[in-house]
Amino acid sequence: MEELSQHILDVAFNSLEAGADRLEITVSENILINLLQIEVRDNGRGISPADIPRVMDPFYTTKKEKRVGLGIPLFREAVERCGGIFEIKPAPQAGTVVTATFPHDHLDRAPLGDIAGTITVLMAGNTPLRLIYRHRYNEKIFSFDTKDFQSLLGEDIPLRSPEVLVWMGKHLVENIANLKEADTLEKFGRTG
Amino acid sequence: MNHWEKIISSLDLTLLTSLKTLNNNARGAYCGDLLSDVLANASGGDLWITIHRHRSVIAVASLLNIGGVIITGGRQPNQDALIDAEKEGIPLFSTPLNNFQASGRLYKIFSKQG
Ligand SMILES: Nc1ncnc2c1ncn2[C@@H]1O[C@H](COP(=O)(O)OP(=O)(O)OP(=O)(O)O)[C@@H](O)[C@H]1O
Ligand SMILES: [Mg+2]
Repeated sequence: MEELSQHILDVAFNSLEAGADRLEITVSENILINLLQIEVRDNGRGISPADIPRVMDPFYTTKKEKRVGLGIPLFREAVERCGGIFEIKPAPQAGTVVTATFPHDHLDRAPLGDIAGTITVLMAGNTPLRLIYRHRYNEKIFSFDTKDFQSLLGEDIPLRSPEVLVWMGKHLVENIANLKEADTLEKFGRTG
Repeated sequence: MNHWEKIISSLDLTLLTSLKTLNNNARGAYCGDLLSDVLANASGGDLWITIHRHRSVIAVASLLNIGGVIITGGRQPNQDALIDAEKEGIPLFSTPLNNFQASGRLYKIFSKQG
């Protein structure tokens, strides 16, 4: 994958395939300690502790029409080739948490890429989904919750209507860019 | 020299799986280290030239019916990748050549065949 946002989409699709209707995606960039962390947390059917090592296996899938399941192994590989840490854990209540931690400045780390695209693709789906997106950049944070957004719009306008999705995409792009604005390149080096 | 002998001697390959994985002739080749790109662009029967040595390579190769995997730069595959390759019947090689050199030599072989 050329962008981490594509891996995020893959993992989020796993959550939807596991019946999740609540998804929290958190991207934390901390340039000062050189970390980029991605967390995807769902309330789906979960993975039993015994199956957690198996889902890392590229020849493991529960999809009937497939022989290989590549979403998780490819994400894991993208993390480990940078010397990062990839983890899958059961969520405290129910569901699953996938965490990928990278050295922010590693040359082989793919760029984050089109996060706004990933979020709007997820929102365009047919199933009702509460999606919370948080993006931390050093001490600053931007967060977005489709629930707040829905109450702002009123219940009559579906979030997945094209106009709303376009607006949502722009809103995300602008706010993520704003987070990074004040911190100059000279001060921190690489962004994104 | 037969098909595989020619490829093996020209690229200085070491076959790491058993001889019975050399069932079918390779039809062409693709070079790439981005698995999603290989997934999108390589074809069945291709030899795949890559620096990667982990087992996801074998999973991608088996999905595409890749004709063989060549790991470059003298790298050795991880043990689990080797076991998977044997199980999937995919010939797995290593070569001291780098991606560019290995691709160049294969290009010569396959372009002569026309
Ligand atoms: N969030 C999740 N909740 C429950 N089960 C999951 C979750 N993520 C993955 N799994 C299980 O792990 C298996 C492997 O996931 P992975 O993404 O690697 O492959 P896949 O989804 O089966 O196929 P692909 O991603 O290649 O379309 C899935 O088939 C599913 O059973
Ligand atoms: Mg998947």
